[in-house]
Amino acid sequence: MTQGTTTEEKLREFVTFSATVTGFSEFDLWGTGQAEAYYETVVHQEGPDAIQRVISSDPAVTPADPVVKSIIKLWYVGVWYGPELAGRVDVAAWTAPGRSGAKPAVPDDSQPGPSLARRAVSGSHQAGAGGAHGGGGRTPPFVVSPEAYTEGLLWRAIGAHPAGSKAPGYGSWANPPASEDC
Amino acid sequence: MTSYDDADTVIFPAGAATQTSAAEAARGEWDAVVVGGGMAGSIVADQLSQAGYEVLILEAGPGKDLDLAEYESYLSRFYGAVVKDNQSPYPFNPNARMPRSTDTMPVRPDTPRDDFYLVQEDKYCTDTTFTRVLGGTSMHWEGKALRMLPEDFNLKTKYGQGLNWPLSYDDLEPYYRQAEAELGVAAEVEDQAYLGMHFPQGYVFPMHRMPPSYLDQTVARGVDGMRVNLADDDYTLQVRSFPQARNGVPNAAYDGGKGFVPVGAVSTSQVEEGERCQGNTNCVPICPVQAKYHAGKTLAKALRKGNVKIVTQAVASKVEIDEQDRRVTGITVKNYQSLASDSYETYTVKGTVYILCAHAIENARLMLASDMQRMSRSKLIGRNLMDHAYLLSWGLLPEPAGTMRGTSCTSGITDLRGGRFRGTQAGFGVDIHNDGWGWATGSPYTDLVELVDERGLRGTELRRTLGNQISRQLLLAFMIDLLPDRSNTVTVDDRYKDAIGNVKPVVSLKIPPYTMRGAAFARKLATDIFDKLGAEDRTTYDKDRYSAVEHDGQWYNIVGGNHLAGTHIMGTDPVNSVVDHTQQSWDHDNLYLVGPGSLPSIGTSNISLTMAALAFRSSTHIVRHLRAAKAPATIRS
Repeated sequence: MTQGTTTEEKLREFVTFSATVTGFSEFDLWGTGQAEAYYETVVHQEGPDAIQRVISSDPAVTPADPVVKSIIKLWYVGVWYGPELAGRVDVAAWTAPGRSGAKPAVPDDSQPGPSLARRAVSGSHQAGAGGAHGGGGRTPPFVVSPEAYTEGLLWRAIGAHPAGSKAPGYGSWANPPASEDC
Repeated sequence: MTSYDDADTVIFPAGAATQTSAAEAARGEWDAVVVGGGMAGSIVADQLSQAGYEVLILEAGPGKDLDLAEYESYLSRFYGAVVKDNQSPYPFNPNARMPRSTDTMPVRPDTPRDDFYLVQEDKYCTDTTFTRVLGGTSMHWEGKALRMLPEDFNLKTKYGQGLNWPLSYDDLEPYYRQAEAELGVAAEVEDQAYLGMHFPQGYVFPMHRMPPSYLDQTVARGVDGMRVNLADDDYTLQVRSFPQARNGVPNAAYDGGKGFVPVGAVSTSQVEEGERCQGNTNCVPICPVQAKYHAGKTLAKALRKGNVKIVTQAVASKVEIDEQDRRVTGITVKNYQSLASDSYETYTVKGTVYILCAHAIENARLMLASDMQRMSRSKLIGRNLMDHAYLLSWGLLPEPAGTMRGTSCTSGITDLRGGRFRGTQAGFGVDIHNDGWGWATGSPYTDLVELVDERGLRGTELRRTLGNQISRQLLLAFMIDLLPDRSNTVTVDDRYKDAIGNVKPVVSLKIPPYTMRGAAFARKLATDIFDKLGAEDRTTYDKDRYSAVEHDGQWYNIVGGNHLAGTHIMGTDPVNSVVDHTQQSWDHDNLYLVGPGSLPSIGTSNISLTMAALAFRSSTHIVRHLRAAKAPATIRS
């Protein structure tokens, strides 16, 4: 694959690559309106070369580069989970919408509260606001933007809608689920 | 004939929540001072306002105008929050804290952490919550609006358990109807007339029932007709629709054929929201379109007449009492400037009557902080704390059932809410959760992480697997009765204070064997239901969690229901209770405690509808009280 040089070319390559790993078309991905924000998020968090690195990596190799996993999850739910959080089901649980009482406990080393819980309500954590890249520290997960949540592809994958958004309409829930062909 | 387009926007007078100054609040004497701008406080304020009285509402939380911009800010905060717990739409406020389930763990006096509000020193902790913003917990409630069963009102006489109420179902029935109108309840009488619940001839609910979800229909195919034997009685189970305070299709037969006009979104201007439920599957923590009732709908109505004033960011910090005649002489308020600052102004407001509507924990906390237990003849302030004990069971259905669509919950199993077995074990209701395993496991995000990170799936395989896996999820939530027990308490302790020096509530709640016998039976029933449906049981309980409870050698996780009640129970005399059947304090003549704290038992119904019914009933008594106190009633201009 030839590598683009301008930002626009790099963005297109990022979306092309993302389509392969997410299972959604480039058309779908552009349609979320989040491509630029996600591109910037990856660059800010993992450095300017990270995207070229994962694009160049052999897709057949498993386990994949953990940054690939972060990128897939970013498109699916709009949350940046840094590569060091790969496999952290407990952290994922707290970031999911819905009642939280019974969710798995998060070990103390990455407790999502209080600092994370408070940041969550302040809404200050936006794409590019203080990346881990170059800082050496570990970044707690964050939602790229309120729109990133509602544009999560996960909900389309499961034949539903993001909890709290894009409602299907009164009574629609009484019908059998329709699954999209993919 | 009413139609879809008839939902009325409720105009919230612009500036109403911010225009009342400290000086105005503290001037002279109000007819009534109401503490708490949630469901109970709003209903009482509206009723007193309609009777011509001047009311001041003190709201501890923030809340400017309940306009669409403010509501949208809650929604946007929810979307952008990385931890999406059931308080995530509402701002963190050090000056009027609220519990968050993320903070739940035992607290020790020497524990160097300040990220909690409910202080719990026991090994078992509850992750229950309530919300402190204008509108109160009605902003995040799910909207289930069940009546209590007739037998719930005399459990002690009937089954030798719990406490009797000083009221019967029949005493409360007209007020249930009034509450169902106010909250806009969608249900059918034919579904709800069970276990003795009865309705006047010809009554219909304001709106038709919410359509049962495809998931409900799937479960019903296995459950309907299932028989269980309990304490020598046979019960036949069926999936039944739950009444919900959520806009649906108005019932044209309502009110003798006059029909019902649903109450739409609250805003300072006309908006196209608040009509029928659209199926956002997000009743908790916030309905994005205001199809679900919240107290702002009542509050906006109360404000229209102009004789109700609100002060927000005003924390009632002390109830002032005359030591001689024991009447309340005022309420001292700490009115903080902003959420970002701990500076506040202190003043005292005065009224002819005082009505505490700050929910079970805050009402008790305020009274205890005011040293009122000393004057209480029952010594029951803060005792008999209750909440429903929730046991979750989850399984994977053999076929996609459309999980993650609909309101949070449209139907459940209610046949074991009542019966003779309650002499030995707790009754329960069962919710079929349309939002899948989310509550129990953090699905669907946890599924995503498992599939991507652990199994290395990507591309179309990932997409297909997710779709197949999540659409088959079934979560049954068993809502189990917890009886009143004096040793379940809210207390205060000077060692624990918030940013503006108010004491935090210390909570101790134990899950007794009576409830756990119900839980054990519920667990067995869940596995029977899963077998019947061909579902794979995926339930696990963790004995190391704060929610772990052991019973008969088995560990369970019992989580909070956000149905807090019982801290100032009603009864027949000043020794067995804190308030009488009108929710008037036995010890302080001009004080009413209106809210779920007055419930002497909670049975197996979500508490809000009963609380609302009691608020309507008490309002009639408070009006009489004011008439007598102020005869002839004068209305200041």
